[in-house]
Amino acid sequence: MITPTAIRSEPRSPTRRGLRDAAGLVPAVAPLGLALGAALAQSDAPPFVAWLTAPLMVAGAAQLVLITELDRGSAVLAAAAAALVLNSRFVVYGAALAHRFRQQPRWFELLGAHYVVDQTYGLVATRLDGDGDVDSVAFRRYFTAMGTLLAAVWTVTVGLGVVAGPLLPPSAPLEFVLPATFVAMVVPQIADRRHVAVVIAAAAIALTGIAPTMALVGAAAIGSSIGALPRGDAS
Amino acid sequence: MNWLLGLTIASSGTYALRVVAITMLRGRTLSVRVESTVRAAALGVMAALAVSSASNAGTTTSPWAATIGIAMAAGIARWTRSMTLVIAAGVGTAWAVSLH
Repeated sequence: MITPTAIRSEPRSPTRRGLRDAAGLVPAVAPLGLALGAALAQSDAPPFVAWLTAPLMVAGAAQLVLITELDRGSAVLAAAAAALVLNSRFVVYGAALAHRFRQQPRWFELLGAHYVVDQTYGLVATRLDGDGDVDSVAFRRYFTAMGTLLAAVWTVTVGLGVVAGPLLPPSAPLEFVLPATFVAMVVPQIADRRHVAVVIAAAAIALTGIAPTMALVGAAAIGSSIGALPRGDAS
Repeated sequence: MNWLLGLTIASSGTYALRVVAITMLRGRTLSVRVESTVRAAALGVMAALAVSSASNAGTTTSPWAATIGIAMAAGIARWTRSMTLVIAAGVGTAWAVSLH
């Protein structure tokens, strides 16, 4: 695990480290972007609008829900609300990252927030967390570099998918990419028995078959409940 | 017109969701316990996303493929920092099992 001290003292700059860490997720992000672009292209949405969801929302499932719902003829507010419910998890990520933004300049607080996604939170949680002491400049450079790279890859690949979707091979095993990506980000975060309990409880909720958005709310609730226990109570 | 309006509402709402907690907590020092609580909530969300996406993949292909692939990814993730390797192992294993 990289420590805050390591970030400051290792020869690689935080920017290069952010790019390197984000590059590890590019093989997962790129095919998902292509697949999402191809799926968006099947709607009646103008291709430019379908693509524009990528840089403006940077949230694959919500992009698909928004375009699909509008394509079905749902009311605009209903379609947007469905996307926003899915994205409500970003509030949790934002709260978990708030201590990293506390000493940042206002401009970065406002601009950096746009990069709060599953992958950027996952990288911070697995590469930096466990230390409340990361140098604020180093964090800013690290987060900007990885967020920019991931958002750029997402934007480009969704665009390629929109344009060239029909040319993509239909048999690519893309359905396994997303769960494997989340596993890669979840497992390194498991540091004690409380975390094991959180993961088991969240998995159980997800497997009950309730609506995905409700599962996320339930998982956040059970996670915070277990996380609030004093150390040792969940063991 | 509806496309652009929907995109405007959804994207600005998404940005608001991202920035609200960061802004509200600006200048506040949370206790270690509260920070631990928030991080556990985020961990729960990510774990639920992992399992629900694996469940979806298992439904469209093979439950065994998804289960074994995810187990392989989790096992690999315990001993390597390389997310690329973890993802490749999980996807490759799941795909190989799904072919049988």
